[in-house]
Amino acid sequence: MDRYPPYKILITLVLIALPVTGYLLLVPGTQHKTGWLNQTGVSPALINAVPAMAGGTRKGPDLPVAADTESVKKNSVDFTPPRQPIEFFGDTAVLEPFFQQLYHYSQGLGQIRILHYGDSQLEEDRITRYLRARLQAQFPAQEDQTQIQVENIPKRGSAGIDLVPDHGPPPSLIIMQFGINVVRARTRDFSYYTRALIKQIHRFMAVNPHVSILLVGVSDMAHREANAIYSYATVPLIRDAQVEAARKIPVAFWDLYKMMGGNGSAARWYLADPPLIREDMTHFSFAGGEEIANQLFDALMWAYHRWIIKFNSNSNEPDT
Amino acid sequence: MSQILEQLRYAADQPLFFTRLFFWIFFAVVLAGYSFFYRKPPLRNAYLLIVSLYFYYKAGGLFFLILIFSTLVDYFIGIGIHSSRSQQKRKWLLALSITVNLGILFYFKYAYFIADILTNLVKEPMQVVNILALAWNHISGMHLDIHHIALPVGVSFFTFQTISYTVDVYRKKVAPVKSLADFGFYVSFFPQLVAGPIIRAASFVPQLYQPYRLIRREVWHAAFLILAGLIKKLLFADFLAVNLVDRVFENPSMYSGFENMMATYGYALQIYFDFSGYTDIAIGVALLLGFRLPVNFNSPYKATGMRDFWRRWHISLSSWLRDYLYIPLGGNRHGSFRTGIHILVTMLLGGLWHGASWQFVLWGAYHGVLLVIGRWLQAIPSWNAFVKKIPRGLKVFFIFHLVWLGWIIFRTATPGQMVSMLHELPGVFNPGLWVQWLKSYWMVALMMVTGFVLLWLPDSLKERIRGGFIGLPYWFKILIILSVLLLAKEIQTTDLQPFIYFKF
Repeated sequence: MDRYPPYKILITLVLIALPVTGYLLLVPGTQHKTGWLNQTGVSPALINAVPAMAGGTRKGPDLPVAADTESVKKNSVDFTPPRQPIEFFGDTAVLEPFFQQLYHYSQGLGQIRILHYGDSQLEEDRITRYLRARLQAQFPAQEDQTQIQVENIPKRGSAGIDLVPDHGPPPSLIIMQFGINVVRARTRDFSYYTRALIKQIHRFMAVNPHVSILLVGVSDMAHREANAIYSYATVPLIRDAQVEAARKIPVAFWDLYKMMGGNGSAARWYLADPPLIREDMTHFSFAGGEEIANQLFDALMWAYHRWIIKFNSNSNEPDT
Repeated sequence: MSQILEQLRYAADQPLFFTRLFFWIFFAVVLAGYSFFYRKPPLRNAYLLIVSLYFYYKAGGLFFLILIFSTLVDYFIGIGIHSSRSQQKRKWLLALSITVNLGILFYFKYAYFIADILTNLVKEPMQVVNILALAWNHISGMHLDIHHIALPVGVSFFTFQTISYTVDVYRKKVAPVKSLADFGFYVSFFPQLVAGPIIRAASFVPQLYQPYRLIRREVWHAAFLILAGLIKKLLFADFLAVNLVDRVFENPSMYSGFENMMATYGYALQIYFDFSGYTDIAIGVALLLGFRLPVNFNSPYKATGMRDFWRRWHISLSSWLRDYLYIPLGGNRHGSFRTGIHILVTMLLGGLWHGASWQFVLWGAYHGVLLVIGRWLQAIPSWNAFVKKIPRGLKVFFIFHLVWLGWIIFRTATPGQMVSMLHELPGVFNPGLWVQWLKSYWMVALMMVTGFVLLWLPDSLKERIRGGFIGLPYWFKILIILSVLLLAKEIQTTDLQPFIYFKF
């Protein structure tokens, strides 16, 4: 019988593999796509223990080019989601009051006031300034309107469960960005944090029943240990506690930890050039703040445009 | 050099996918060594066993100790069952084997699920502690994470395989494998180790003692299967997942009914192309080494009934469930009511096999109920007469949509997500978005249409294409394979996506 020995198969395999390998190695722009040929990337296993001053891997994540405002034109149909979309837990209505006001504002009606609460991450207006600039550029004030206000309210040391509702003009949107002050808690059970957050959000809602609230999750945070950088293991647990609070009420949630890249991302952000996180492996630099503001802006705008599209597709006006 | 060595070591994030170039380099090296050993079955089997164990180490790291443990236990139990005369002892040995295998499966796969259920029952937060890692740390002085239980690669598949072996030995359907190396080879043969097909000792073990007999036609049949599998996985499944399915399932309420509808059809295509593509490659690779694995898919979306569907979808699992769960429960021997219960239990557990989640249980229940209803209806003569008059195409269309609805349960992570998706679907009848969607998603739409056309091509035509490929001149075939691979590389937009069934 005509048997086909393995070495003949091997020859055929090599005949196929050689051109493919050559193609992967030689044609520009293909290397980065192939997982195993890519030696410059940092594998997650390595990131968990990045040497404190690794010269060789000092290459950061590709910073996305700031989304050009052209791509988010009013009513444009944008089908491509942002890097980290806002989560609604099945109920898009939670941001609807804000979107309605935003739509009215773009038609020259009403004012927009956004309160950005946060911990020391928000000090120096590190994140809010960029968010404000993007919103004001996207929705320019018309005639007698004032520009969109985005107020920066940093509370150093706060976990976001001791905030006193503001009795000024009713805000259109409250953004709450907390969590890093809980990271060092010596527990793995954060259900108390969920309950406290729910209470806090109810306090806001008691003053402004129709306010839209966006809860921004905790950011990744790391520490040095034996010449390596480790993310705190509590970070995802706190994120889960925040998700639980957002889901129960419900309010909108934006997963900052996931946006950053999950476990090990604080190290990666620190090693980026320019560094997106400061020496303490916790606080964002201005570059990091800008990155977060841009991503948050993209997520908000995408949700807003999805909302407009969905109303159009149901052949209703957005302002009904 | 150190970089090459680094590649050879276990890396959790880089298992040996069939879609990685590394796998094919690995396979080339395996073939080179195989050329020395393929003529002598004992040497050949030992060689492939070592290769397979390395393969598992590369994909699963330390977990390969569990594979070895499971292999040893079932090897000795198999011999024990065969040699013991007392029925009592045989029963106890069988029970021991099943307990050990299911114990491994439950410990690694369902610990969190059980902790969750307990938490809900006693209202006290339950923490999972990895006692195996704890013990290992004590013995070896290593520092493994004890707060996590990770799922060993392929554990769902090889535990089922060893259970089927001991049960078959107990039922005297197969003689126990005499050599430990041969048994280890049966358990860990690398093309099917990670995600099946689940092979039976009765059909596989005899192949261990047969001489190598691979003919030219079979080699090109294998090449065709591998090529088809790569096309299914890289061109269709990954493309649809990345560009449509994942983003909509992540956030269904952000999308209109039409987009949700397209994503669910996309997933029906994706899961079939993903898993059957994987299986095609596994069968092809095994064949190139001279071993024949069972067929796992037989055009499931051409099914004309739910029972028919399960005879065509993941055949090695559904026949396993039939032979080792449904029939031992009593099958259809205890009247129609008991039969219905048996079907339901089988399908519920079959659903749970896919993962520790209520969505999978619900999916199993859904299919179980459909099968039971199908059975009841078949008992009515006028119903059968009615079904006979329905054109085949209409039946296929109807059954496909029953299955499609099931995939929505299967893919959504939580009941809330599922409900919000089902809530959006009726919005499909507002055609406002269709044109705009098609304009920006024309590539995805094109892939989906092509996918469905390929699914529903007549079998005879598929056979002719396969035969045509095999009959082509050597260089022409190489050229076709090369152009398909480069095309797939060009279309690929992101990093390689893992096979869906790797996590089950």
